[in-house]
Amino acid sequence: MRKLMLILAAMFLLTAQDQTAAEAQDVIVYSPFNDEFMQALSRPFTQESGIRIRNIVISTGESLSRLRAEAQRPQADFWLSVRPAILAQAHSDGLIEAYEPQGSETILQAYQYPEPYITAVGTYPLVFFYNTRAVSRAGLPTPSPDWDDMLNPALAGQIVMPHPATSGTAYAAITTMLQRVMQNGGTEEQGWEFIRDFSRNVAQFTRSGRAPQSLVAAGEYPIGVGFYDAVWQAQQEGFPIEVVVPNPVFAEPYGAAVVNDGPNVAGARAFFDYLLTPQAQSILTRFGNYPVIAGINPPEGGVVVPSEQVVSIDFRWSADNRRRILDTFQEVTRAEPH
Amino acid sequence: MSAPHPPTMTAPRPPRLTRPRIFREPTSTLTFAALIVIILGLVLYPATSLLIESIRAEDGGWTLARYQLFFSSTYFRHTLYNTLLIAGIAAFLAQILGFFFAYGVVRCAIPGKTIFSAIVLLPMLLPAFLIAFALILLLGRNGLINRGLFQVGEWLQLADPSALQWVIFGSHGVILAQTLTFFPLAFLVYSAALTAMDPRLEEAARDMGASYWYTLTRVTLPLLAPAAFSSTLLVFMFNVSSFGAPALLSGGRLFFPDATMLAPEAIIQILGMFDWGMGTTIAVILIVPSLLVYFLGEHYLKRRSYITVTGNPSGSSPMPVPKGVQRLVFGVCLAITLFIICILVVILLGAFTRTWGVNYDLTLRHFHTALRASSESITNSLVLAVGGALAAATFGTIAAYLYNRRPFPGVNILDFFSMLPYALPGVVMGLGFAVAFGGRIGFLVLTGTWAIIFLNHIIRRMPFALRNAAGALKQIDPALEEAAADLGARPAYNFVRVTLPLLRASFLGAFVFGFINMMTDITAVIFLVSPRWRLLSIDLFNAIDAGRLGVAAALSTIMIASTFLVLALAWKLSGRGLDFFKK
Repeated sequence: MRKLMLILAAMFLLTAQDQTAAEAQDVIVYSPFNDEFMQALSRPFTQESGIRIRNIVISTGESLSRLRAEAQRPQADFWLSVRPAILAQAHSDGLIEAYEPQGSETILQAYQYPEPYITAVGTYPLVFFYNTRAVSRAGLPTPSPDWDDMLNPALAGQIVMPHPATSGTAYAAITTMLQRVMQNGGTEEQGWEFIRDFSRNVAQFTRSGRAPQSLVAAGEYPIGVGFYDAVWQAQQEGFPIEVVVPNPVFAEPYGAAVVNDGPNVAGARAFFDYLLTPQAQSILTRFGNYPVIAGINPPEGGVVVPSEQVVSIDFRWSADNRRRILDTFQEVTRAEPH
Repeated sequence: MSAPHPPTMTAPRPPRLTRPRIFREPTSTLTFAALIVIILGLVLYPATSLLIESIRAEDGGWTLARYQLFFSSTYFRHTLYNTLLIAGIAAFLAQILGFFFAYGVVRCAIPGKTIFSAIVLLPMLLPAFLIAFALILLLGRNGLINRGLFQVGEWLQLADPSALQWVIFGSHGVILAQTLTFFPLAFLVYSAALTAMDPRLEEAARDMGASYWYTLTRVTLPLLAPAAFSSTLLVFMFNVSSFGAPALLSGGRLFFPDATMLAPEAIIQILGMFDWGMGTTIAVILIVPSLLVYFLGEHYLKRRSYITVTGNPSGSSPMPVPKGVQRLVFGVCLAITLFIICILVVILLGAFTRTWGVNYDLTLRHFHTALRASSESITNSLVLAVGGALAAATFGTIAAYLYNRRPFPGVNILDFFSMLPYALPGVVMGLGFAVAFGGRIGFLVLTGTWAIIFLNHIIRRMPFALRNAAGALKQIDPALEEAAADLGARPAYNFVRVTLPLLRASFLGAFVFGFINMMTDITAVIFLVSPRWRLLSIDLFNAIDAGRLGVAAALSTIMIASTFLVLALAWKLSGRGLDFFKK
């Protein structure tokens, strides 16, 4: 009995020590990027600085909830792949630092933001994608760049997209749908009508912003809406998945931020600096991301996004109306994230 | 996933006092005090915190608005209906399957009984969501079986070649996954009841000229009614609070298609929408059916001991079963067994093939990715589960000994609260801990540490150890301990040197049960994991959820393999190993 207690006590001590040792050197990152991607991205940084990157794979909406919940006792140091609208919201909630990383002056003009708390890190367009086999098997029309074609009743129950409450991807999609109508002279009410009709064709609103790409790649659903990077990665894996760049297309860059009073602020800032180096930027392109600094090639064989097709969305409008838009979305579609 | 109830305790003997026992037996007193602190801190405090959080208004006052919202909104009401309906149907189907298996193994002369009864227990070693995952690999829109069916449809030149497909997403999928997960439990209950049944009753019926069917329906099945009742309630209780299968498979249409199920809804409210008030409200509502069913079952189990015929008189053998029935039972057992084997094989295949559904080349890269990303989660899970299971078994055994052998006044109340975590859903216990130790209420902040996971593990799995040890204690003659006491052994010494060695089997059982549940649980720990303390089960669930099937299959394989390894070790050690109690 005493021996058992000793063993237990020794085990606790060991693990507890392990924890304190780990705390000093690690940078905890919340990002929707998968572990494989994050390991490739952080390897040169860790080799250089000795700082380990621990990535928690989590959707942007969920990580915002988490950062708020942890505000009194922050668990994460760094927040990666966050849209300007959500950065603005997090900054006004006091969750993130206004840190301008070294090298931010090298960012291309199109991706520059006057707000010190918004720094672009990478970008990829929000696209339609489809499984060629599943589409031909079900005898569906292939998606066109026209959003209105997505309302085709033949597509009922064939589309998968993320849920805007949990996924930043989906929030971007919803705001694009609204702005497209409003910028063509329609009212927001008409924008919601479009979303209502669109949601009739959606079979499932996923929790994760990157689940639709996997579901479509695997042939579970024929057509999806989501960011290009995960589609590109699925294509590299050999999945029969094709991309259509819609018109207008959402192609806002994503940014990153250092968490306010996180356990390792210095490490997080160093990682932020690293992300704008040519080395980090070219690693990004290996995973279907487009660089934000000059002189780096876009992903090999990646789609072309004509700049005149890019929808312009005031991210402050997007941030200020987030609560209202999410509530209306819930009302209009009565859909829950699965 | 759990084992059936061990028998309940006997009433305590009234102690004869000369001097207050508090002073005579300081070790017992201290241990009692410690148990009371544990129960207060880890059961009552989290449960109360949960309740408080659900009625606390954002401006600091009190409100019942969330409960009003719950019952006035069709969405939430439908979520409740979905939960009860699906849990009920799945509990019923689990009884039928469990009965078929038990009848086959106990009563029929069919080949392969040993293999059947070994395979049928396998689902108990797997997390519930893993079965759902395997079902997706087999019966998803692009699953192995459905692809085959599609080709058959094309070959038959059907207008819609997908007409033959049976896609798993929806109510039917959740029901199938839940049934497969919990029918082994029903199997255990029915095989115990069938073995214990007095064969003379059936014999008497046959002697008086009753046919096989008449005897089966008028004698055998009615005798099984109490077992059926308690087993149904137990499985229903687990179904009501399940999260994994509903979360993965409800992407289709549930009975009420605009809603989901309670446990996933609570998790979405908290982790997705950051709405602690609504999440805790749903968790509190989830308590009601669980506790109701638990108490009903407990009540019935106690009464059952008066009705059930016990003893196993020799000389009579069970009623012979007609050949046709034997063939039917054999067919059902074979089909389900093959399906379970299929589930394991498909996970293995998924782990070693490049891209599921596209490219079946063999590869080890999913293991590389899984190990690189999750090696710490694997260690964390193993360390916390081994340590937690040892601690749960130890505390449970000590508590059982004290409650039964050295009872204090009020021991029944303590026993009641010790058993409570068994009946409370994982979501409730996990969320309760997250509220109680997350700085939202109270001062003790454990969020982000291993301790919050570890303590949750212990308190949730202690009740089983307690029941298990209490049952075993009843079979040990107190005279043994009295003899030692007469020779001058103090209670603590007596417990460690005399009683504990006799409780080895029950200790091992509690360890195994605790370990498996701690490795596979997600509903409670999903609220307790943190960046530094990730767990294998959560990594695995996230991989499935994000559709990373190869990595998920590799993680599943690692989980199953390491669970088997620890269980094999425990068995090997227990032959000789639990002797370390003596030294």
